[in-house]
Amino acid sequence: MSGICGFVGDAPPGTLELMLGAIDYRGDRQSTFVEGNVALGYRFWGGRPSKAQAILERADVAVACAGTFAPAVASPPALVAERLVGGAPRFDDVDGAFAFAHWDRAAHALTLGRDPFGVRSLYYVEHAGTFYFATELKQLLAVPGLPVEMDPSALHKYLTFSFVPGEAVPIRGIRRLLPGHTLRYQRGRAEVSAYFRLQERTDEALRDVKTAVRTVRRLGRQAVERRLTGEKVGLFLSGGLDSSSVGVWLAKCGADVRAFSRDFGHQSVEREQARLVASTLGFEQIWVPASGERIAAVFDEVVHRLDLPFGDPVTAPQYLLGQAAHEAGLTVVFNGEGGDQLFGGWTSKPMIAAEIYADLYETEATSREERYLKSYHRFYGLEDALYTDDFKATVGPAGQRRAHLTPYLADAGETFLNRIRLADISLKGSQNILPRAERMANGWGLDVRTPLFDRVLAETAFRLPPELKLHGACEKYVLKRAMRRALPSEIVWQKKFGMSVPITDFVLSPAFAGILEDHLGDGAVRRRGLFQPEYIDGLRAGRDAPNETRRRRVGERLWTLLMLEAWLRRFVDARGARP
Amino acid sequence: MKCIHCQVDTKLKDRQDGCCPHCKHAFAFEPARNDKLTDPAFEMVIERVSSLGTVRYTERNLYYEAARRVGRRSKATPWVLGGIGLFFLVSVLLTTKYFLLIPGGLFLLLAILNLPHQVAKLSYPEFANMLARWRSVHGTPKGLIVTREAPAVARPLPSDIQHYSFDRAVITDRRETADLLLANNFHFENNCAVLTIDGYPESAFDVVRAMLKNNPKLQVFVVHDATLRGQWLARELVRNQWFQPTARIVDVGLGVRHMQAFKGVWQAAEYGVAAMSAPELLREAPLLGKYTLELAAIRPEQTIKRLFRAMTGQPETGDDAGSGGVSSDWGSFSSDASSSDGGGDSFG
Repeated sequence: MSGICGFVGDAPPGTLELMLGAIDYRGDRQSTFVEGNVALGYRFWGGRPSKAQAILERADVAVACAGTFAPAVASPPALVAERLVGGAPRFDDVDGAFAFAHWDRAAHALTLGRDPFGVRSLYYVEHAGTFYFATELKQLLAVPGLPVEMDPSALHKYLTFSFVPGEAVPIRGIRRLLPGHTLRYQRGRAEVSAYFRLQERTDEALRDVKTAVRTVRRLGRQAVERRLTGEKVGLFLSGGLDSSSVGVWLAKCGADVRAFSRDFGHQSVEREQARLVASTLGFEQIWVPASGERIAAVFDEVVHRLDLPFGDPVTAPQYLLGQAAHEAGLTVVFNGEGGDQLFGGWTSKPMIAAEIYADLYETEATSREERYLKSYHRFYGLEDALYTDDFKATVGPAGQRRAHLTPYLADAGETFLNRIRLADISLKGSQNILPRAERMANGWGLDVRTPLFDRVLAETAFRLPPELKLHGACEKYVLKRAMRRALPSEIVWQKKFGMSVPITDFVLSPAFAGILEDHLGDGAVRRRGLFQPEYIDGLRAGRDAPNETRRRRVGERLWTLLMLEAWLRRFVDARGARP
Repeated sequence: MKCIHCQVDTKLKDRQDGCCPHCKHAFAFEPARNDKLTDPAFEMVIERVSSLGTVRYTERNLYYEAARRVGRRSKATPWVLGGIGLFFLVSVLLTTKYFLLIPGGLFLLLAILNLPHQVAKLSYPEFANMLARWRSVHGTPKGLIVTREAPAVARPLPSDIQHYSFDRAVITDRRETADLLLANNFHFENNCAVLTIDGYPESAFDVVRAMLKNNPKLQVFVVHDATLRGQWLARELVRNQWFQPTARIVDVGLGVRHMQAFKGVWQAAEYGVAAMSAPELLREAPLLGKYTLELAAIRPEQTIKRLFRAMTGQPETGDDAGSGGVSSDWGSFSSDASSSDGGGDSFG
């Protein structure tokens, strides 16, 4: 919940109000700071603990801060002011889910910053000599006169990753500040620097399994404890190991917890597991039906709240969970996001197999980066079938997608597994899982807490020897060992069920027929001019490439295209207007 | 014959120099020289075996697709010819006009000659010759799996990889089967090791075998041709202790029961060798002493999909599921083996 925005320079009258108005669902109050041609805005919910209740104004600085620190502090903007003396961030131990703007009145310098893992977002753009920033893209689109033109290169990346990675967003000129970074804007120049970078540094003491297990148990509980602020909380409980582990730690901390679990009816794959965990931990459990009809009904709202295109179908059920938590009167929800990325989930395995069998054949994908791109299972390698010639000609040079991966997958790190983990955290975790979870929860005024992305826990996870993450073929071994007495063995040792949203059935059901025809019908596809209608017709008929073995890919690909078209309409054609 | 480059149809007299008179591209084949396929027919073979260019395939896959095309016959023809022959013979009985025995006999003979083949009517050396000509004229067919030459110094694997394992393993009796699966990313999509029993691929064999021992719950899928040796493969793996005793081994290879659907692409078995290697099995399955059926005869797309189905249809291996024994899942390759697998005469 909450959001900030502002500008340095001359902006049309009423701009700050328009930017704050674009996120009115993120709070019932607002605070502003205006001094000369500098403006900061802050929208928030009144009376929420651990949140700033206004923009901090002092003689030397003004600070707007959205989100929370972990552990909570009395005044988040005061903490930012304290740590940004002289413009240099001293953020070595700072953690939480925050985005801030710090105006140094004497130096005439604006500093923007994001939390280490990217729960909260920040975008910026320079237009007509004025520097604008905001926690949501739609706030920048509200700036009068800002040109809104889609960026084909960013769309091309979205169609590969299912989210837009890196600093560029699909609108030309607008940039994103990366997680764990700060930006200093002074005298018309912006300078970006990193204050946090996760690195692998194996700790020999953690080679002892018992020590490693005890450490994970202690830090996991501490990560949850640091994020508790006294209110009754919700837990998005899937029945898998990660959310169940967070549940265990919440229970150990004595939190008052209500569990919310998705119910896909007869297509639910972890329903019994979720029920078992809730009863084991003594949580009241609320089942949230997530049918094709319900998802179709909230589709437009989901697109608007997501702010960027996200092609993973998990977002709509998350939105429904948020709705249920909101209706139950909660303002804080915990989730188990991050377990796979930190502790070695199943996604490492395909890359290991590919590494072993690399370079056997002529004309195969030879680089580790290309193999990683394939693992997203969207349209990498299918560009000729999907893209029109016109679109293909505009997507930019070869190698731009691989460039996002090279810093992580090159041979610089200590171990192969942790290189994959670093790529997963930095891209999939920080630029996909966390921001989309935050936006879905905030769509209902909820503050989302993701304790597995705790800074200390994450840094420790990268000091663990990799074989304690993937132990033979056993994923997240150390977390399983840490949980084996706290959870039933069938929860701890069960195999990962994988994608649990029956998205192919949903998008091909009558409930989605109208949305599908409207967005991906022949006429709509031709009008947009990006894709070949024949390929999309095949997906709509339930046909995928002949070499595709999994039916769920049809739904995943259709959802990715559907979200993109809906996003283009809402954000490019209509400049972020609400549904 | 149509030129595959410009699609212009030409008469024999117009292409005496072996080239298309319209676009001047060379033809690889010439029916007038008794080549068994034309260029467009071979191109269609490539399209079919690669499922329109989306699946990679081995030379053996391409061979069987070509063999199906060459041996293509109508299923109705022998019945029609036989019916006419019988009509003449019945007429002889009714009319005592014995000269009708001649056409009746001729039609019956034709019916017998037109019965579907069992053994492939295109030999591998003939096919290899055709492929070489195709390559020299049109280049290597797109999607054909071509192995890279092993580098002089083996590529070092990251040192931590040996600590991990796979969820599943496919062990097969043929390099071509391993190539088919690996080149189509089966290992990547299914977290699955792929090895042949005789040590292929060499660059990965030792490390993968060691890794397989790291997983007590490993699921092993044995994939083989319908040969006597193939029937032994799973038992050989158990005997040689390839895996931990708790691994679950499922034989999903081809057997006698699959052969009927693939008449026309059988191969003659090397009887003597087979009989010596597996006399008990020869008594159980005498057909395998005469004929064999290669997995490569099934279209690659179907092989991959059926193997995936066989894997995902298996119950998860629980703590007590591993028996160390061998079970069979013959259904995956047989239940609906039909023309869609490349098993019927209607192909090509």
